[in-house]
Amino acid sequence: MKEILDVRNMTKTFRLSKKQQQLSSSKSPVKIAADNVSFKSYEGEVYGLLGPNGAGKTTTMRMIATLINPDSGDATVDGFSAVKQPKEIRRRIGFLTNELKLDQYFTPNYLIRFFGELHGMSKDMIEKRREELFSTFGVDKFAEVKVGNLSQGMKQKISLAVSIIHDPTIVIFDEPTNGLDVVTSKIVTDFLVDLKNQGKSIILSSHIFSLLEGMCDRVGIIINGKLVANDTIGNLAGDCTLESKFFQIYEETTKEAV
Amino acid sequence: MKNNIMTIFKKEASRIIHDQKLFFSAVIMPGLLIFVMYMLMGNFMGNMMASDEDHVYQVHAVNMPTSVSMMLSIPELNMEITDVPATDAEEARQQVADRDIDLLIVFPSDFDAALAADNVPNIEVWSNAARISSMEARNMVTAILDMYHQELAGAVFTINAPSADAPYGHYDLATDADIFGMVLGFMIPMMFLIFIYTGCLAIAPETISGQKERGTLGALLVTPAKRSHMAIGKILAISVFAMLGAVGSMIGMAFGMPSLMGIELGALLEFYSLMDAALLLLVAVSTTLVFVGLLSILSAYAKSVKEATAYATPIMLIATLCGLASTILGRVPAESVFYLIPIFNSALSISSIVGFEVNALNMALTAGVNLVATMICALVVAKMFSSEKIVFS
Repeated sequence: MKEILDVRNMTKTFRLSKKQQQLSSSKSPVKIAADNVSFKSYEGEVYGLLGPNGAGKTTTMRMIATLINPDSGDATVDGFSAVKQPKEIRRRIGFLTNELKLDQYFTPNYLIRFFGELHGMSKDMIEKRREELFSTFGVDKFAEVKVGNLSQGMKQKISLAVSIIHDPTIVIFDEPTNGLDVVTSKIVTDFLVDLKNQGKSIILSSHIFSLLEGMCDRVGIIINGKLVANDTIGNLAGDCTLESKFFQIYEETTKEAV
Repeated sequence: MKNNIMTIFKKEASRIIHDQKLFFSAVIMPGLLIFVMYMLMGNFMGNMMASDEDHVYQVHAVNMPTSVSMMLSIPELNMEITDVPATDAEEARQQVADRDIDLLIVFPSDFDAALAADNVPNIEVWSNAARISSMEARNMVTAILDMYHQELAGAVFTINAPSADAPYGHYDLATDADIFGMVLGFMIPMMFLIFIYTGCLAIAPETISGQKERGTLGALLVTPAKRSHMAIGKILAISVFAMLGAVGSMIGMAFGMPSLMGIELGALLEFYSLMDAALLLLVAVSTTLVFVGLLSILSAYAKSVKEATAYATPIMLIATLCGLASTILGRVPAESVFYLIPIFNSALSISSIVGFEVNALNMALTAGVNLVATMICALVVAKMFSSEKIVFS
């Protein structure tokens, strides 16, 4: 299988303010958000990053998406370096997280054309892709309604469509169902299944075991910034469920009973 | 990818145009505010200062000699002299205090005898500084008494007596335009800078901090568009609408100024040429750009619109202080070194345009320095957009 993503020894530290130190009960002014993280993902594969809140999943995803730079290490997407060729990577990835929002003052039609243009697509390509995606998501009727006036579910569908307008090589989803109601969450998971069926390469971070278990070919477990396990779900969980294996690893790593 | 600047620009422009509140507060409101403020100030000042030509000054006099009474009775002075007995002087003084009459003049009872005996009699002229007509009457009466005094004493010389060159004794060489320019030179820069700034403040934090706050900036950052293109596109859009606001401010000023100065709109055109208007526009545009640049930096740094607006307050104070530059300096300096300081140079340039002291080099310096300052600000914003600490603060 062709290697599509290669994360090599990525490390990222953040300076903590006094207040942040107090909140996290840390004596160190520095937090190691990602500690020498390395893993690979292959074409057509769904790779899941599993870990508790604050473990370093989002930091790792953001470093791959070139939103933040690693202190050391690098990641290559389709052969392009995140550190040296961030623009090339941004051309090839679709990045979706609930933290990145669409401007509510614009219509879906406007936004999809806007992001298509920023990705350097021709008008014809944008139109073709827009029709295709809007029809798949069933948002045609709302194409001229301002995003601010749409339902939560419809907004999520538009966000999904916008994130893949440029038909990316690899799609990165950072906690895609976080903060969503059950109906909207289902829209997202259905979309992930669709992408998987289309043979897309996907990197998915979540702490929802059922989602990862149902979707992923391989999983990496990240705790306190370190990737402590990295294998296929079958090899990793063995006879147990992914959930029980995760807590076993968590207790071994943190020496804390759950 | 060059088109990305235009793509970002078009999106931001569309956002501002379609947000009626934003458009109103950035483009329409500054001009409207200037117009309304000038109108109100004009009316207020007019009421304060205007002397009613038909006003008949009510002057009460005690023991006034006939010779003085005749001098004050000429029709041009519009004075109604009422002789009151010395016993009523106290009551008349109260009337002046109550602003019921304009003036009370009290001559000593033995005025003529005292003069003849070479004594120095004192004349009391009671007025009320809180009543404009009272002050006007006092000035006229003291001037006439002064002339009477010179006549009695046998004048050695006179000052500013009516002559062929100055039939009314006005020896001031300032033209109406000069006086007009001087008054405006002190008043206009501060208000002009503040209103331009108000327009910029309405858009910049909303366009940059607002997008950070709402998470829509992050969505842009995962596209291959260059950070510098994003910064330039946004700054351009903010600038265009802030400049429209500045043009609106100029229009508001042009229509409000006649009211402020108590003249007709046509008279304004007698004082100022189209070139003056063009220069004022040049200064307004270049100042707008500096404000946009500075506010863009603050907005990129701030986590929210509220925070950006709070950070913007010191710039407002600086703009206000700069607006008072010519008042503080007591003149509009011609030295070019003053025109190397952005915003300060704008205030001085505005003063020099309205005060008819335009210096081409200083105008060019103002526009050039402000443009360079804006470009530096744009570079800083582009750099800030590349910083994860700023974008994900």
